[in-house]
Amino acid sequence: MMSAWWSKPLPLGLLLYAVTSGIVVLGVSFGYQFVTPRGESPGPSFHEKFSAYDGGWYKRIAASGYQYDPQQQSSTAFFPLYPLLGASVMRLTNLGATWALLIVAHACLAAAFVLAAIYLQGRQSSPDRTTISLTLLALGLMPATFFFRMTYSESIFLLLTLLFLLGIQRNWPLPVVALIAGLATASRPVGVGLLLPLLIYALRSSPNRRALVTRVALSAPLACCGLLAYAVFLYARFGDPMVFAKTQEHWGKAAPTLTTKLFALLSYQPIWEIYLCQPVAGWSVFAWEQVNPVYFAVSVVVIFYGAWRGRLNVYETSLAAMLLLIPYLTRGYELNMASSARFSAVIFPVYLILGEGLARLPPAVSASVLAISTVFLAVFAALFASGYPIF
Amino acid sequence: MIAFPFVYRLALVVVACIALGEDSRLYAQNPHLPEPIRLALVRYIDIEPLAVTWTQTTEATSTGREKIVPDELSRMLGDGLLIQHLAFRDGRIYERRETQSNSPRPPRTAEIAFDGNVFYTANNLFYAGFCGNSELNDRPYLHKWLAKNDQPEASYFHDDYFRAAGIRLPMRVTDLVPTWRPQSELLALLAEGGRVEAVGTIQLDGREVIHVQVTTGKLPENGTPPRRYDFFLDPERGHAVCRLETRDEAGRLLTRSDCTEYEQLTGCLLWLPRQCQVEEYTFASAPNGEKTMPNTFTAPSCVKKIRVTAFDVQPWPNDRFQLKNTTPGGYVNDASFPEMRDKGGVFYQVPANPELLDEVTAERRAFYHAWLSLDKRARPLRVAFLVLNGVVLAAYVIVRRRRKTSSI
Repeated sequence: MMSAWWSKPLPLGLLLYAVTSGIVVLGVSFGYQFVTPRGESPGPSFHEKFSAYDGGWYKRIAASGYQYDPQQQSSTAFFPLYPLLGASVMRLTNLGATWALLIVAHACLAAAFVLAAIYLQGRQSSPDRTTISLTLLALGLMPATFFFRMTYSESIFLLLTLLFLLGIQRNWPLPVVALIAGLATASRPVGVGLLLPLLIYALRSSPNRRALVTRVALSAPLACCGLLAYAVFLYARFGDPMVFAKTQEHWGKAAPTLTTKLFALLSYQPIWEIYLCQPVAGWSVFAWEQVNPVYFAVSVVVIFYGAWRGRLNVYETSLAAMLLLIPYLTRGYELNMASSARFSAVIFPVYLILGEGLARLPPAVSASVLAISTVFLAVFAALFASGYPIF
Repeated sequence: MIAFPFVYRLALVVVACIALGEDSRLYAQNPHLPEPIRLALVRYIDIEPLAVTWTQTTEATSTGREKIVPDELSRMLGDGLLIQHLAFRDGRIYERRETQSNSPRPPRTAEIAFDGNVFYTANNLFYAGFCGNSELNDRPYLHKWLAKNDQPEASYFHDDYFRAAGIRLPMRVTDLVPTWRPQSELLALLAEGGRVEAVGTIQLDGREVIHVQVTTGKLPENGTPPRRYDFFLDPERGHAVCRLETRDEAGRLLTRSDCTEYEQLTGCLLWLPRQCQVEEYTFASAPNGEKTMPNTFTAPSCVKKIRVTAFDVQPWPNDRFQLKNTTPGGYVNDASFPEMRDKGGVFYQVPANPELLDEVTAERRAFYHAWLSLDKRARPLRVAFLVLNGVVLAAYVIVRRRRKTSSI
């Protein structure tokens, strides 16, 4: 049983959030000071190092709203919940966009750690303190989780998926759980992945078919409210509700024919094709383009194992499956699995299995695994901060 | 009953008279371009080598602010004051555009060059160009590619000053690749099938100028609609264009350019204006074109002010028409190698040690070649995984059936 005061969900979650985030901050600081590539001098502001690549888009949206140009990459590809909260913090505090977005991201991440601890306690009749701590450590130390500390929407999405799972675990009313799913659809495009576990929840919590149909019909608009609201906004602003999807064509290679794409996806080509080329340029565990498919494949294996061995319940399995499948099927081919590590990092059920696995290992081995992961976390944070193509 | 054929015949006569009258009027107003004007305009071919530096601002009028949606207007107005250089010589062309720091965006520099074979584009900031991420450790960016791999209709250069002054520079890739020379817009239109509708002398701002009206039909190759051009040429300054108006088929004014403060170029009988003002009466439709707004206005929607700060007639050396990125860490997308098939080339960062540059490019080229042959090399693996999928699926079905059978 959890008895020590620090093993309660709130202090434990906050403590592990602070410790693991401190490592990322140190990594960024190291990158800022020493890893600046190719003989360049470091840029003027440290905190801006947290907002590279897509983080820059969120900053722009928070500072000056959405823009759409059919001829080039546009900010409409980035969903509104995170920049909206960032803009609110900007108004309330008069801080710049980067600081405001960092505050939102870190507040969400800290809350996610606490919720994760609560969720883990509720998963077992007699919660195992070691497993809970190791799961939270995995959540904080796996290499791609450094994105949670950047000006990215991953942390808010993680928070919402945890709240969603907690709602199901505690049998919250369907409209409440649907509303959480709706918020998730406003935070990231993969938010629609929450609809499958929501449907299963509706199915299981409805006494008969008639009640199911009624409840689903009433909850469906709530469950999609974020996406619908964004589409309405885009229609009002740019005359087309689908510009969030249309602008995607400016990222990655041109879409092939559907048949080509289908065969490539069925044969997992986006995952392995990079390794047919890379030996020419050289292998590196720090080359993010090589890390992305590995991260994705490991996540698939972990989820498959968890579902097969009954370690994940149907909600966790269906949620994880959707969060893996949606990006793979929609953009995996075009993006050559770019960002798939980041997309996989928000799949909380992966950490459930990793935490359990670490708890079963001898303490020295699990400590070594976490130590190696910590090194990679810090190194990738440093490389990201110093402008290497980590996305 | 008798009156009807008479009226009918009368009507025919009236129609015939009108038709004849119309025809004779057109004939009278369809003269050729007078030889002195043609000879003066032909001299524009001698305008090179030339480098012009000018400042340019675009201001919205009350009509523009009222009629054009803010996003479109903002895009039209750009980054405020713009300093632009445009130079050309022997088929080579170079352009540089700089925004100033008083704009809400960070100062940016964009260069474009064509050396007769390769196109170059360079920006001082890589990320700021597309996501406004100026505070990031941003770096200069260079992209170069072979002209033969580009779209023929692609157009990169901005020739606002020359267009206002009635000088045609080739802008599309298809026009740049063959040997080209600058030419008078009026003669270029006539060469494309344009027709001189009227030539006369009129008073413009107290001076006597020659008015030449040219109409063009629809150009099938690029879908350009019929246009009417009114050139006002100053006979005292080598028939330089002092006003140029363009109108659509219905006669609605689209643009009006007024040029003043002429300067004779050293060593030739050509005068170029130092100041131009371009009034835009039209507006290209917004992306949401179905939300219609009038595309042509009765008053100008914006006014472009161009002020030339320098003319340079000294020939530039060839290497000034080739761009380089030597900043350590700078991004380069190099598609100028002969094996490249399109505009996307090898992407790399400039190493701090210049001696490593060849090594870096060789490495990335090898990577590029590996990608090119990827499809061929991936085929066996693709087939193997598809077969494996089938085997796994079959095994799953068999195991399930056996389990069901054993449970029964």
